[in-house]
Amino acid sequence: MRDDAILQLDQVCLSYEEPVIKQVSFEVKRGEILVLAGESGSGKTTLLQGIQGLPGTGIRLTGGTMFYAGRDLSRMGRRERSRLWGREITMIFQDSGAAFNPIRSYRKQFAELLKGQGNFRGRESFGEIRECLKSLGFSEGERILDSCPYEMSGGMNQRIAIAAALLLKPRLLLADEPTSALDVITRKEVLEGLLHMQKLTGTAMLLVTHDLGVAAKMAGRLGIVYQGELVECKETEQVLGEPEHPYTKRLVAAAAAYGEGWEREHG
Amino acid sequence: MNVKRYIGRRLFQLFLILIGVTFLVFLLMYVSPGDPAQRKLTAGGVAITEEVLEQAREDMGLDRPLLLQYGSWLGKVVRGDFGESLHDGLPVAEKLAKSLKNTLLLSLVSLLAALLLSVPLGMYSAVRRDGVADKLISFLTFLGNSLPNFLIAVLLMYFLCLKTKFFPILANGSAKGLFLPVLTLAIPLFSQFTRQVRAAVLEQLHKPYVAGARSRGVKESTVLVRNVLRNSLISIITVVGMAGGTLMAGSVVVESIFLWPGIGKLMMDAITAKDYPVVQGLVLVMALLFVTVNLVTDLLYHKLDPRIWDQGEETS
Repeated sequence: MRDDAILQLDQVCLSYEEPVIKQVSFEVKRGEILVLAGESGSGKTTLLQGIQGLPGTGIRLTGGTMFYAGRDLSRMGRRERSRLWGREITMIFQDSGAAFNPIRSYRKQFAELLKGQGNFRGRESFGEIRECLKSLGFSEGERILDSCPYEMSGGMNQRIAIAAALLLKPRLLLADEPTSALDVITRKEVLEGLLHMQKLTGTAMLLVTHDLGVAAKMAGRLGIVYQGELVECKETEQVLGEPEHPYTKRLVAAAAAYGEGWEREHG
Repeated sequence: MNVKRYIGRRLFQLFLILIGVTFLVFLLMYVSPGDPAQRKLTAGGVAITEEVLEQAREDMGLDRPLLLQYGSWLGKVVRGDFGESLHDGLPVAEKLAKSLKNTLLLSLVSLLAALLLSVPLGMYSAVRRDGVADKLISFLTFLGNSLPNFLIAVLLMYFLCLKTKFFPILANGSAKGLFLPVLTLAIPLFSQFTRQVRAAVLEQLHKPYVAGARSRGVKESTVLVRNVLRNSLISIITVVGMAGGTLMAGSVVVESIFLWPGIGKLMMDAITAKDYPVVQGLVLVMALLFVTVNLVTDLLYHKLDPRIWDQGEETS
């Protein structure tokens, strides 16, 4: 086990009834951004959920090993695993408006989040939260705290979720299609929010997307997931510049033909 | 939408409904067979002559036009004067107040007992879905839901009074006597609530915010109580509100069986004795209770789910 890896997957198979992820191996180094790209249904979300290990997903590890910071995730009990949620590993979802309780004020939900870390100090904490929101471009932190997620736009909720992650300062952030429900401009804001967080906290990020434009903007390294397998995983320029696997070639060609602007848009 | 405006509008609707209800209740007296004056005199043991009868009708205002009679009746009702019982000449308001107190005691204690048990059990059932406890709870609540209350009452009487002599058969308003009627009313409510809590909590547990909160490291107890249970309350409140009706219907049967001196028993007695002023007062009180429960349910709804305000704004 290498010391600089925060997450290391070796020959991992994940299954519901049917196997979805087949013998996937990769590692996420401390502080790096690894993007996994692939079409919908390729198993990207399953992979993230398998790593987070929340109950009720029906996902089982049917082969291989998963190490987080040198600890074998598959040997952890549920209680031990749940201690990782939040400060160690947290997730940003595609629709944060739904991933927060839609009818509970952000003030209460942020307080709950800090209480979960044993880190809530009343008034002082809310100051910290407002600072956090401000650093992500929200000038009216107080108004946001008094609002509920259902009152906010998709992009705002997404950036608030980043603020929550920023407060948690996890060592590994999982992001499941964090921008795919957004328009181009908000998408850019959200991606910049993530980069801002990465710069500030040095959190390692594992981001899955179907959008190569996002990959180009974010990734240090890029992996391509195809039908539950990781077919390629290298430096981003290399994957996009000299794709090896036939699927990657098709994907890169399609992205270039359909959205030739992705470099311009995100670069 | 403005909260005050909404409440104002609802209170105005309440007012209109009450006008309608009072008019119907008044008509009940008007169209009921027999001559009220004659009945009153008979009940009072007065020798009836045509003259005395005329006098009584005039005293009671029965010779005046319908709407005028309604107006003066309503005026009295608003001041709390529901007239006198034809049966024993006591003021109806007094009888109502006394039995209403007893019924409210019975209903509220039943409701509270049912809620206190069903919320934790329903939640436990949902969280430990398909476990042994869940299956046992499902079976028992199914049973409690299917048994009619008169059967529950008789079964309880048989086992707890006749067999073990632990409780008195007749309640007569004593504290110990409260137990069996409460149990009879609470068992179906408890069963209904538990199933509803379980279903509502299960629905919420599958919402993405639960996974979201867990992944953010929110404590499991906070996720379950402050988020899942709180969001479930919206559909639980609906069932509790509807239980108001079940309780009132149930009280008629249960109070008659256990001779509990509440409005249910008063209703049965008054109908049997053709004591129309009492029936009138009862119908009015029950309608008022019903409408109030509905209003409170609706307001709680709005309090629990702020989205309802915004939807209201879009449609109105």
